[in-house]
Amino acid sequence: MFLFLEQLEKELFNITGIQLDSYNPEFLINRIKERMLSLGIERQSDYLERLKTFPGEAEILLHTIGINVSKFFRNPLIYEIFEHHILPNLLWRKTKEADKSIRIWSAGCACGEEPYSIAILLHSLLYNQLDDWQINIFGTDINSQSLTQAANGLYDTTRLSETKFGYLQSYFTPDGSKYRIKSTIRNMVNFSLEDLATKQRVAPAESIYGEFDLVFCRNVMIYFNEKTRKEILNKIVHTLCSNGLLVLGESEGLLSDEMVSFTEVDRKNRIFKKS
Amino acid sequence: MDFFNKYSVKLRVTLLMLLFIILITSLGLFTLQRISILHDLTDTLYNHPLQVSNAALRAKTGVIRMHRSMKDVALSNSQLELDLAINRVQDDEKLVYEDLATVRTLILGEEGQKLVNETIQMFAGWKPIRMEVEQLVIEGKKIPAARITREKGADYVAMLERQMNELTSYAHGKADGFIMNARETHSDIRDKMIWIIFIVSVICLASAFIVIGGITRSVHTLQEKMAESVTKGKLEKVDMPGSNEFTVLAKHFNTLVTTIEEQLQTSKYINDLNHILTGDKELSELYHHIISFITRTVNGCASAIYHFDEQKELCTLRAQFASIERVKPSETFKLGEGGIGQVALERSPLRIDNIGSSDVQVKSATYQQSPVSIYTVPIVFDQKILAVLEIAFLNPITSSQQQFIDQAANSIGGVLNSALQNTRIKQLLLESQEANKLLEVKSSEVGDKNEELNALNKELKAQATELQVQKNELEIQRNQVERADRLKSEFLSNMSHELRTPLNSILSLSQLLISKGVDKDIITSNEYIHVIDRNGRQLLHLINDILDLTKIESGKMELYPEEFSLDNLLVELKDTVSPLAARKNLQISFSQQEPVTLNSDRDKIRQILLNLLSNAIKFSETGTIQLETDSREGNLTFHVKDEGMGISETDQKLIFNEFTQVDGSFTRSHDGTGLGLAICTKLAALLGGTISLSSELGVGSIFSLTIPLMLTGNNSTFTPNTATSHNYAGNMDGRNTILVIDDDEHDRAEISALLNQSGYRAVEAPSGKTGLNLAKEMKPNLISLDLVMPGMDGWEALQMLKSDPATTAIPVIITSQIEEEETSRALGAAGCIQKPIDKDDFLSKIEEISGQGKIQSILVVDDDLGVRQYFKDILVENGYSVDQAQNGAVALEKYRQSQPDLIVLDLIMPVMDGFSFLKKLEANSSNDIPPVIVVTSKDLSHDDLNNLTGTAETFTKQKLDKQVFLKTVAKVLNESNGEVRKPLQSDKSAILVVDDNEVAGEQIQIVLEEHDFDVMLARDGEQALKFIEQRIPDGIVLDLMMPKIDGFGVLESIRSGGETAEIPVLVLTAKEITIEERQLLTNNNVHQLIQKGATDRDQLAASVLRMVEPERMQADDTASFDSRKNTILVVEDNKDNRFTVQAIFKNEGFNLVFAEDGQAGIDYAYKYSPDLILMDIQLPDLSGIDAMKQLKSDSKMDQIPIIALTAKAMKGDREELLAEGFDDYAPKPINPDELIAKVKNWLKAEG
Repeated sequence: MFLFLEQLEKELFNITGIQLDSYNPEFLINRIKERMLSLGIERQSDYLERLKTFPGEAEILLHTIGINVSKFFRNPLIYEIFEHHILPNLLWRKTKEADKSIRIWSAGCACGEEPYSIAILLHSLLYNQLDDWQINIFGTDINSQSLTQAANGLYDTTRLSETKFGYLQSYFTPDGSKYRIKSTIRNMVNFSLEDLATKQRVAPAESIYGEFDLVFCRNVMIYFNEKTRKEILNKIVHTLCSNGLLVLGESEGLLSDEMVSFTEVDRKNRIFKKS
Repeated sequence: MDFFNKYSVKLRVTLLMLLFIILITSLGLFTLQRISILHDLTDTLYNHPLQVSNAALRAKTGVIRMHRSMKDVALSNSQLELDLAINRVQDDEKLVYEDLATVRTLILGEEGQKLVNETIQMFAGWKPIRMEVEQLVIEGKKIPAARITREKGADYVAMLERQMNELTSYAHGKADGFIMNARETHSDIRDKMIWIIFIVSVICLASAFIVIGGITRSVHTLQEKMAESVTKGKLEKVDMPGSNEFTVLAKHFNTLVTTIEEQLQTSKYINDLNHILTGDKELSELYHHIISFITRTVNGCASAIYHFDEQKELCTLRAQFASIERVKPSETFKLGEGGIGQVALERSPLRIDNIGSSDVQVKSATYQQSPVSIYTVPIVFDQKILAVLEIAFLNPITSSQQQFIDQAANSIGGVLNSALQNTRIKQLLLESQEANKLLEVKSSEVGDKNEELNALNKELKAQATELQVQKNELEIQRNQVERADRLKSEFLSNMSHELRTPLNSILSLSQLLISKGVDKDIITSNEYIHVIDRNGRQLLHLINDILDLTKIESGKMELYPEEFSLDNLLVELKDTVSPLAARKNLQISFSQQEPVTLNSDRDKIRQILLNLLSNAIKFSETGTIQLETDSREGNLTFHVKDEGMGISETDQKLIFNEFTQVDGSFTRSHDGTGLGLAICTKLAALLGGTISLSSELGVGSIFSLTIPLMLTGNNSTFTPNTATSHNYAGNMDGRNTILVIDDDEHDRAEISALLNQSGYRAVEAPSGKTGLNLAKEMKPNLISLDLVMPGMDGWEALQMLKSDPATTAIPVIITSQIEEEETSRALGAAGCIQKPIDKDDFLSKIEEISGQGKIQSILVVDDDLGVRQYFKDILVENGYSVDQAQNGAVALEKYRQSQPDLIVLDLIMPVMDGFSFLKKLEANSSNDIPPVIVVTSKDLSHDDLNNLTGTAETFTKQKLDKQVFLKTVAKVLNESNGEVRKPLQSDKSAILVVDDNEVAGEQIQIVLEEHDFDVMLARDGEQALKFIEQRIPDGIVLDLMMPKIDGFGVLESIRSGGETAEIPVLVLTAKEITIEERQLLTNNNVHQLIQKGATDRDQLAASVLRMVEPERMQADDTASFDSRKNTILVVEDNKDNRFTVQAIFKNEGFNLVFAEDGQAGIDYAYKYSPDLILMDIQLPDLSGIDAMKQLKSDSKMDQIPIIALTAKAMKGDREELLAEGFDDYAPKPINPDELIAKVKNWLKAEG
């Protein structure tokens, strides 16, 4: 059992760079078993194989263990695409349409890394025109502790490992061994407690009416069962404005019947456009 | 048993069945008869003994009764008794006689009859005794009567009784006899029946066995024979005489066997024949074999075979079998001649039977006879006749013989063919051997000639190649010429388009101005003139480009070399292109390795780089534009990189050519003449350098300019570098000027550079004094002021600036080593920045302070110094510059001096109050009244409010909320934004939005304002209630969960007040509503309840609209359309041209719809169904021609007249466009009157 744990830790470290050394092995084993049980996997070697081959598994496992793996600019490629392609196009289109408002929803925002990242991009793109724009970024999560942390805006360096130095310099101030996000960015994002699976509303309450230009729902729906997943996706379709974009996690995708509402913008980065 | 075979199975089975039926019927009849016998017996059994004994018994009792009555007679005491007794005796006597009569009729047998007769006699014998007794009694001699009765009578009666008993027993005995009889009859019947059934069964079985046996035997025989044939492969016939179904079957079977045997025999013969014919045989031998085998096999008496020569069409005798006594068989037959010729002609066999006596005889040693029949067959292979075979028979030919001959002829065909071929090959071989010998002799002669020919051939080939090369070259040249020609005309056409597009606006608008007059509508005219001006400049720019090109081409371009630093050039370039890039959200990055000094023509280099950079910006949508420099070996290379759309390899070669743009077609999406790069290349060449390009589609392009550091071949005169002091000349180009006052040269330069890079124009002052002077002189938009300076320090300078009316409005940012924010603000500075300066902070501060590049000034008019000071404090704190006036008169004076952006006005003041001030203001000034916010302690009457229409907002002093006030100020300023202030529309509905969440409130506000509501925001219940006290809104959007006073609280307090009780309220909440809460809401007259996040923008607005202005719900976006007017769709990509068209049709009474490209044009056509379409030809993406064609191809749209608008006015264009399908054509520049006339004409025709 402990040999298995050792292999697993090694594999997980290879994939995510996260060390599990400091955790109680028995606790870890219980959690791994829990995960294996929910997958219906009995053999340890099978689970190791899944961990190696299935892209989202490491993350789910970490989540099962209770480790939040969110980072600023996690999967930097997506943010590059947003910075150089999607956001400029969006801004340009909106300018053309004389509708200088951008509405973004980060569904499952954890400790705010994702909405802050996108806020940073928008801030750096708009810079001195920021005041001309009505920017609404909504970060929602079901975990109130995460939201408190998000509103607090204090992050240790592991969360910033993908953050460009320029952004770090411009938008964070060192605070002890940690970094605090500057208030300009913090004020751009609105955090609220929201259960994605609720049937009471479609969009987060704080957003009043949805109509989002962008919805990030990365690595969230993997935790729900198929039925709930469909319901959530339906809600997202409703909250997106026409031509709005949906970003899913790298291991997620849309089924062909779900693609009816979307066209694929970027296959690799799971960016979909409401059509 | 074979005897039965004569009869058919059907007959046999029928007979059998008939027999069965007869037997069974007889059996039944017999049984019936026996049953009736038994029945008779039973009847007798019942009737005789029973009735006889019964009657006897009754007679007996009668006798006894008579005897008793006789006793009564004897003993009777009276006449009456006697008479009664005698009557009884007589009655009984009658009965007894009746019974005895019955017995006599029924009783059987003689003995019985005798017994009965005796009994009757005996009974009759008793009568005299009774008579005697009666007589005695009558005589009265009772005792002798009684004695006679007792003695004689009793004896008689006893005798009669015995007789009666005898009768009964006789009857019984007789009955027993009957039963015995019946039993015998029964057993007799049973025995007979058993026998009969046995016999019938035996007969049935026997006959069935015989019949079925007959059938099965036949089947069995057949089956056995067939099984034998199948399993053993030995065909055997069935011997079955008779004439029934089976014998017929057997006969057929036999026929089948015979046929198969014959076929087997035939194929065996064929096999034998094939066997005989195999192997290489001489043709004659073969013929012989064939004929002898076949004739023998079929028992022919004689035969002959003829070879058929196809070319000669002649049959020749080749072999014969047995001699035929005749003249001799003919050696040859022509085609169609005789039997042989006929068969060869028809290719089908010929059979002749019943030949009578003839002279043809078959002869043997001992016998001689004429043949009876002849059979002639063709031998065919592969559709060709090879030979004809004829066989004669002494008997009539059987079909099997014929069949065999036919088959044999078939297989002979193949063999004969190969034999014939072989013979022919042999013959050819001989011939070719001879010919070869002849050839050998000739070939040696030819060999010599061949060499000569080869040499000649080579020479010819070389010439042909040369010709081909020349032809190819010519072809290339021709293509080049054609291409150049095409490009030239394309260029001309483009150029004419480029020249005409601005000209169009210029001419059309100026014509409009001429015809409609300038002074009627100054603002519109002004707009026209601006457009004319802009287009004029563009035209100038174009013409300059063309002139440049011509100048270079004609060698008239002169160079002015000078020595200059690269840094300087780069800064200037960056200054120029940054705003362009910023407009497209592109990043600009310039990097330089080391300081370089050049000696070259600075302006030309600048021109080239500027062109490359602006191209990069023009063709990029995202990314960074980079300029990198790289100097080596006396050359300097500039790389201009972009992340734009890139250029394909084929296009890379073209774009440096003049007249070319990558996309020269109708659907160009980028403006430009296509001359820029051509000019650049030529300029670079002039400077002794080159321009190169590397690019990848979709990735980006790098244009590289390489020029020598020293321009050679020129007497370059050294010109000192004076460029550092350029562009300090104040606010000339519309950029905001910022005065930088700092004693430290390094700091000053840094700040200036920073500002210049960011689109400002920095002016430097090295000391406070110079700064003050410059500030007065230049009126900069902002001042950056250092604190620590020798002489006059920053604080002093700030004080001077703020105390001088000329400079007091200029916001000042203090730059300092230490944090002095509060002190700075207290002394009137707009903010403070700590050194070393953080670029972003500094810039954002400037942005923040200057708003849209302009500090907004506010005039506060109030007689109360304290109030003035309060407003000044809070306004200055928020970056406004504030001027004050203590009454209306002073305010008017100040207003004339400084034209504030906003006025905060008290109403009650000495000298001139607020109302009069407003009136004066309106009367005195032209259009340009700034917005006014009224702040008063007066309770405003209805009239007051009427007088105040036109002011932006009204606040009551006592309830003034600082944040709300500031927001209002910002909002009002934002709305007016330097433009003419529109008077506040008093007909707008006012909605109060109550939400503690700022973001939520703002969003609701945005939506509602989009839908033309006047929106007020309250952050909590308390504030909401305050608001409502000041002004009763037309509707309220209410959140439920709020601190202190929540939504329910607000509702209750609203509903309790008389005036507010009826305000419609929409509850917008994220709360899950309980039933009680819902009840509470309903009770408080809330009809709309919307869950936050469960609605969308339009729904939200519609809900509010429905609540507040239900009548507005009907109006939709076509409201601005007057349905009585004709609608014209204008598809035009050029903004100025759209403006021009709009100006032309202004006041002409049309609804105008504009589309910017072809696709939008189509969409709008469907959306608005216009009465006419004006279509530009050169449109981005989808050209006007294609858009027109799409519309014309739809039967719903093809009725709409489409008029082409184009600046391309080449010869024949009109015809071409009409041929494409346009209904009409209007050339640019547009003549307004002509176009209007044309449009009206078409619309009239439309009807």
